[in-house]
Amino acid sequence: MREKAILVDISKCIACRGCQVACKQWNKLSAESTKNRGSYENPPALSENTLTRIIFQEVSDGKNLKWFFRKEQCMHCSKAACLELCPSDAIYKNQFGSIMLDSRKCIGCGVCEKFCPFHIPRINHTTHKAIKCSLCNDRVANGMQPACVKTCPTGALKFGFRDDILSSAHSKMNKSKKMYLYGENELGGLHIIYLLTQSPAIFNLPKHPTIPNPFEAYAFLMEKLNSELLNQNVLTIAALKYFGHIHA
Amino acid sequence: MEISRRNFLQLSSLSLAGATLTSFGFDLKKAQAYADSPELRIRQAKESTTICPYCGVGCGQIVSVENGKVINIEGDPDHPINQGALCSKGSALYQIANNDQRLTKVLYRAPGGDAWQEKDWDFAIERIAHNIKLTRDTNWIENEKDIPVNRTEAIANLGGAALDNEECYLLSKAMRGLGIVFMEHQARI
Repeated sequence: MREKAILVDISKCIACRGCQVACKQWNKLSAESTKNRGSYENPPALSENTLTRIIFQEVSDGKNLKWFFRKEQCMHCSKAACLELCPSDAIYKNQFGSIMLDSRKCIGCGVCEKFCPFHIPRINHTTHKAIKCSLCNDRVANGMQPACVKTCPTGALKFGFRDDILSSAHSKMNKSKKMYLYGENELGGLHIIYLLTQSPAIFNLPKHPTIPNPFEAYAFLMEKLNSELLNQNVLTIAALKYFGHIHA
Repeated sequence: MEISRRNFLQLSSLSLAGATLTSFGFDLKKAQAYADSPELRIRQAKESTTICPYCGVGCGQIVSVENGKVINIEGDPDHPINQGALCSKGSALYQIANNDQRLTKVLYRAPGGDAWQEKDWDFAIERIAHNIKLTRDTNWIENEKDIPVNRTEAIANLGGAALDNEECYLLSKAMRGLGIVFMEHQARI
């Protein structure tokens, strides 16, 4: 099946944060109690109750202050670090190319949270399960758009087949030379494609995101062995997975 | 399925074959992913349309109701104003209906009093009706410059952003019926 993706056109985003709230509404996630940090950016980070949010950035070039907004959520990488490193095989790819998390299999070890190149998944410390955006798999499988895309009032978010999304992004790039494309080839191709008005570095997007070394993940799991969530079996399975099957 | 001895043997040989296939590198993970087609949580819900109460833009919304409870509210793609889109406030409308911080009992503060008392609905409706009748009767204007107007200027109605389109309609009907002319709403739709 043709893979699906979201186009995030930064030049159209007005940071109304409709996407943030629509995501919470559809996924039945509660609001968070936060403090005023001197920015409209709220909440300050993703969490078990916030799967997407708008990052506000104030960048000064000495004279003028510029304000940039970027929607942050799971990038649904084609070569996903979480999928490769999850010791309990709780993460898989669905027919749309979205990275899914099976909470029944999740053991809450925190490898995905720690080693995601974009630092997206979060561990819910009440349920001891990881949680992240599923690209609204339930809606998309039933012919609907993801909640964030549907609610976007300015059309900064578009949802469609990944190849169509890429070609429309390229045609916009050709019209205005000052745009940057992010997500076409990173980690085998992301399923969130960004059209940026500045270089990816300004938006704190890694230039060459990579899958971390499995040895690091193994060491991380070793450290966690003493906690009640993990046992020797998990470590053995992880060892088999990391050193037997990854030919990255 | 009832398992007899015969199909038990068949099943065992099948699963053995399955296990052998898996060990040769047949990836079952893909099959699992393709079978993944979850049910939409609003599939059984009854849908009706409404207008977002928050501001004067007047975006259309679809409310999904199941067993008498609002379970989801999102933008109405057929509405000409917003074409399915909603801002952060409109997207949060669901929590007006479903909110554990809502008042569920009548709170009454007596004239001159400084404390809230819990009262029942009978008391509240009786009291409101009594006061409306009293104020309306004592301030009734029947004629102005010999033209019949039949109104009261002593009562005003202030709508709030938590009132939806249908509630505002009912309120304005009731207020006009009472001869109240001062009606205002934050959104001014």
